[in-house]
Amino acid sequence: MLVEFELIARAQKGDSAAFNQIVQAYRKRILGTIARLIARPDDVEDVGQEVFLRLYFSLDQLRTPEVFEPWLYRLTVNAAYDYLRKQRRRQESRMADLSDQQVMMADAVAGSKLDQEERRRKQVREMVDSLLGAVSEEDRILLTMKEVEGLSLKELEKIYGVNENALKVRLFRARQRVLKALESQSTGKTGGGE
Amino acid sequence: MKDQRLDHLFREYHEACESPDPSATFMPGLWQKIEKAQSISLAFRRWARSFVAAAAAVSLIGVLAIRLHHDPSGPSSISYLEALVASNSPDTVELLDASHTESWDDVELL
Repeated sequence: MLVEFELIARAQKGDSAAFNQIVQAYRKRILGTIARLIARPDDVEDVGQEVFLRLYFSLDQLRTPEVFEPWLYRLTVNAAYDYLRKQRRRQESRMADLSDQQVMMADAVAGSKLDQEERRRKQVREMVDSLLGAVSEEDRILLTMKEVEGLSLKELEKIYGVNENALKVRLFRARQRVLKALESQSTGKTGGGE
Repeated sequence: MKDQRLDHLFREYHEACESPDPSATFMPGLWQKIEKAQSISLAFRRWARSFVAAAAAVSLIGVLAIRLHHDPSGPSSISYLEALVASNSPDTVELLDASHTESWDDVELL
């Protein structure tokens, strides 16, 4: 826990200063999780604010301060899921707005500014994003929380309110789909190179 | 082998997506959103309260109107039996007469 239980209890009673302290303690961690869940740096703060906005209006529903962190993660997961769903609807129109030439120019400008390390990171981000595209938004989030964020099954159980076995099955299936996507990506690259 | 590669990719992904530092506008922006949501909720609550008050007033007026037009000597002020006796309906007499008939053989068909 990054904050004392007493601070959460105070925020629950409507103490704005206590709420501010909670946000300040957790915002970097939550923004990091969101960045990895949605993979769009420009929108991370917006989604982060949405998480804390939901927290502000749902704090009174929190039964005990002990379950605060799973509660906050649940809000994060839900906000990221809502964002990804909206994004999927917008994606097609947004791509259609840009001509091929504009996309190439934007890439070239961005590419020239990036150093080697940043290019490598960008490559990894794009690769994992495309692999995670093989699964649904729900599974993408679940897999990211487990494999990238490193949350345990026990923690996920508290966040999702689903038993461990159901989570294991869902994670296994999602992972299999991602592995299949990785395989076909490797085959495609090998095939393209020859 | 592929499992290991995927695990490695996930680890690299974690490093590639660093936790961004919140901008200076993060907290003011958050409070702006909170206040906006609160004002919407407050406006809705006010509207709901006035709606409930208006509905209560209409109901009260309706009840009062019914009371004012209510006739106290109307049929609802006496019981069914009292009304039956008072009306002294001929059907009642016929029914009573029929009950005094000793057997169905006595009943003459008209």
